Amino acid sequence: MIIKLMKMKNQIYKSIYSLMVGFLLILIFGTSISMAQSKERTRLRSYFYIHSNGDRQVSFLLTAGRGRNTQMVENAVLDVEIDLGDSTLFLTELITDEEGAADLQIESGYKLPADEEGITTILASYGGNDSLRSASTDIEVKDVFIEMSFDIVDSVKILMVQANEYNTDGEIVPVEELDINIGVQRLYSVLSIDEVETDEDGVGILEFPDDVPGDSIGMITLVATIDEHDYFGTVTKSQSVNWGNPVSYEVKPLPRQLFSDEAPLWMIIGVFIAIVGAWYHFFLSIFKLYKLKKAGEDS
Amino acid sequence: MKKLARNLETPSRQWYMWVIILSLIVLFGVYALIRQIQEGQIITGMRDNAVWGIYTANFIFFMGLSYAGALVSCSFQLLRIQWAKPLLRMAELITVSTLIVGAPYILFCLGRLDRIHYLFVYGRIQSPITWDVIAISTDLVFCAAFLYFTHIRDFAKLRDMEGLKVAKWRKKLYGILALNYRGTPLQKKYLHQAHDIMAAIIIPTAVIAYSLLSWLFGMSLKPGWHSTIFGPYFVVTAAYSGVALLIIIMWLYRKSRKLEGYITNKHFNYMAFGLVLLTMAYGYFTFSEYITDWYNQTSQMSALLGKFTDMSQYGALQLFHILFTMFVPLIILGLPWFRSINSITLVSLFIVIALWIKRYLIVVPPLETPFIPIQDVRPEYVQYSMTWVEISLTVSGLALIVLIFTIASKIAPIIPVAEIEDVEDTAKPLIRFQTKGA
Repeated sequence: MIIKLMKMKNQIYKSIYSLMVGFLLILIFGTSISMAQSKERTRLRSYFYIHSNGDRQVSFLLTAGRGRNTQMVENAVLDVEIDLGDSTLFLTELITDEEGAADLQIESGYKLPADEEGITTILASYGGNDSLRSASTDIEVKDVFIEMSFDIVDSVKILMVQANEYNTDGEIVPVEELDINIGVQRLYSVLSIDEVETDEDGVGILEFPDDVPGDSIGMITLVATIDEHDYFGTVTKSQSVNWGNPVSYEVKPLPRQLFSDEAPLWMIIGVFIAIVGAWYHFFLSIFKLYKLKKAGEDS
Repeated sequence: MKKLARNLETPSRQWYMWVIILSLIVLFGVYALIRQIQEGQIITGMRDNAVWGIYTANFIFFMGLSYAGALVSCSFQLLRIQWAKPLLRMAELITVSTLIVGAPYILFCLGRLDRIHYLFVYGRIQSPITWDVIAISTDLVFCAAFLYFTHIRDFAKLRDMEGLKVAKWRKKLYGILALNYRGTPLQKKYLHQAHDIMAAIIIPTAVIAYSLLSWLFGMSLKPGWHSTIFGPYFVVTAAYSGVALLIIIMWLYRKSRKLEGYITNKHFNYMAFGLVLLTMAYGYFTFSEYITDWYNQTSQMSALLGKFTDMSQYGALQLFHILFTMFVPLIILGLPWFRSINSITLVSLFIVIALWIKRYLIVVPPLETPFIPIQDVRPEYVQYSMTWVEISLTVSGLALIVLIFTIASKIAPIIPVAEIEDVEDTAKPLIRFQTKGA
């Protein structure tokens, strides 16, 4: 009976031991699995810009999390490559800043490897780390050239915008049906004037209004913009011309006011009287002391 | 005179110890100031939102005490109030010492002290700050001159006193400062004229100067500041705090110098009556200020008043201020069975503390409650909290005032003895009322 009880006790101990080991194993593996699963999702986005001087820029933005919990990932290394069809060409490594952004600058004139349609596919990838998952993106880009020319026909100001691109043979050809926004640079933003669409010659024509204010000699800066095109991205071209109405920015002198450089006369007179009145009495009393001293000497 | 003059003789060891302790506190304040100049405003609690803190509260507080001292001493002088003669010098010393200590506090608020001269080079006469600089500097010169005028007869007595055990240079100094005063009728006449002229000009200067200080706030579009009654309110508050401080100083000198014969029960009672009147005036202005703000409040004003009633913010300070400036003084000083020299002094002490708190409540909470709240900044840039530097400079300021009193009362008697002893030398009243047929 005692042996039986001892055996049962041993079995109970073994069972408890097995359960504890099992629990520990589940705990360790479960935590590792959940840690692996708890890596945060990341998202890598890309944008293409062509600046007024012809320089191109591919911007990448790396974020982690979703919705309101989205955070910018800084100091992340991005590998940038060009897709050559059956292989890739490594371009560079970029590191994201505190805003999660990294920019690839391509000087004007530098020709990127492209497919038969003149399209370059740029790939970017982020390898991830212990807490963030990997992410990648690709963007198809193509060069476009915008030129602006100015003419006055019968006192009407005519703006011609020419858009060209490279064809498969590397020749420059016009771009058809391209929407280009025309605006004037103001102090903080671009004032939109109108939108033109290019014809089969790649030309868009706009009758420029007469009532746009310029600087003191009528100079304005015209800005032609293509917004987020599928291949050309966001393209900007700006050029100055004296098509604005000269505006005189001469500041008229302010009258004597509280807020102007010169105080109102009544205030100056009032303060003057108060100061002179007070100090006159001070010196009068000092004079009395002088007389007091003198009287002492005389006595 | 001889009894009081004994206090001026060779100082005791305790006196030197006391001066050394006060000097060390002042020097620590200087060290704090040097640290502030070296490291900038970052080591103070002043930030983008609350650009002012206890320095400005101290500035208004000490300026108020100063103007009150001037108002009290000059009014007593002009009105020929005989019983108040023993208090004149204390009131004048309050004026000069608090003016010397208080005025620099506004400079401590400047981020670039090295550009202080710009105030004079580029100062605009339209700015209340320019008015204030002119008024304070003028007032300082006038009050210092008035303090000297009231000393001339005592200096003459000390010069002529035989057996006075003081250093030779001090005797010589008394001779120079006495301006050949021999007490001739002509000299008395000139001295009274000089006194009256200075007293007459100091009263309006002090009222204008303190009103100007109030307009620094009143002319700002901030909740809690933009008020038309701030001018008279500040002047009444100044007089209130000044009279309370004068009572404390009377008590201290009476006890420490055994001046029971000069500073009597009557003086405390009369000053207490004055304090009761000022309590009522102060209560009236405070009520007017808050009732008008509360009745037609904007959202920011509502937020500000909310802070004054919230015990986790400024509610406790506000409660202390209201209790000890309005209710406690009326009960203790107004009812005869509570009134004694000690109770009057104790209430005065609480009034002075409560009025410093009031200045803090004028400066800081409105700055923390602007019409356009500052956004996207750390909380410490919005809320004010004082640092060791500001506390050190405040304590050292108080120590400097005590030091000035300690040294000044060693140079000349704290009671204008010559004026009291010379009973016949009472100046003619400035205003005489004559009845027809009299």
